[in-house]
Amino acid sequence: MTITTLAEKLNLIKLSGETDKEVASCYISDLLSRVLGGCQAGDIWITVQSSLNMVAVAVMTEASCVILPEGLAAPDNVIEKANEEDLAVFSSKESAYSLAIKISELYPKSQPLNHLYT
Amino acid sequence: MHNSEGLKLENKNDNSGVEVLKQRYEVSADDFASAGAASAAVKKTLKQLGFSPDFIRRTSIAMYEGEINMVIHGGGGVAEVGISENQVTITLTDEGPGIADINLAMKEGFSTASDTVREMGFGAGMGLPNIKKQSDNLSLISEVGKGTTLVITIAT
Ligand SMILES: Nc1ncnc2c1ncn2[C@@H]1O[C@H](COP(=O)(O)OP(=O)(O)OP(=O)(O)O)[C@@H](O)[C@H]1O
Ligand SMILES: [Mg+2]
Repeated sequence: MTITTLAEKLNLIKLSGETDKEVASCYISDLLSRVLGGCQAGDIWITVQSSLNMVAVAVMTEASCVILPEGLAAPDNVIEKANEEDLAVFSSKESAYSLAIKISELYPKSQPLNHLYT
Repeated sequence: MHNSEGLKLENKNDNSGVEVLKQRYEVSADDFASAGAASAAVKKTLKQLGFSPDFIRRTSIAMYEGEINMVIHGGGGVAEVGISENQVTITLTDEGPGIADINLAMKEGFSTASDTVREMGFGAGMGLPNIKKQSDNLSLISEVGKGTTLVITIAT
């Protein structure tokens, strides 16, 4: 599944980024060092962190995209930085829990969530 | 090792015969707007040099954790990076408050981060354990009141 398909299926509001990468699994945490240790390359990262550090962490971990849940927005300078890095950041009205359920439903049951290169 | 933009490893190591590309970055204290800039630059360099995605990812994560620690805890400092064909060595030196108990600092969950820093998402006490996990060799030397030197080696 690609970022574009994900965004369509989940009704995500696009805040930044133009690339259409493959997405792997999903990782949810707001503690940046936990994310740096746990988020795998290609993962969809769901977080309430909307600072410049969020962009840096997404870039370092090679998360495929970031979703800010519960209608959260990101400041202009963060969007600008995310665009510079070509990082896709989305906002959604839904909670992290409901996003995760929907993401899981997007994958065929027979096909486990695979990481891109780990 | 070559790439399209002409970046290459040069023989800068006097007589060892090992080709090393050296980079040096100043890291400012409490500057969260540009925090991570050194790690981001190194990540780009490694990409240009054609290293494997996994090696680049491990190096980026380890260096970013170390860089952020200098920003938050170390009062800023200097990051020196040596890239050779088989490994990268990252030396982070600061003249901050130092670490009183290194074994404690290395433990998962130990953090002295302030509330302000925690509100930004740091302070899980996972930075140093993450660096250890991603690296092949780690040396942490610190003296209270003098500063901290962290040397991270990651092999390809
Ligand atoms: N450069 C440094 N100078 C002084 N103290 C440091 C330095 N680096 C780490 N420390 C000390 O070691 C502790 C643990 O560091 P570690 O990176 O593991 O966690 P953290 O930075 O507190 O939180 P996290 O990295 O999860 O955001 C810090 O809270 C701090 O007390
Ligand atoms: Mg840390």
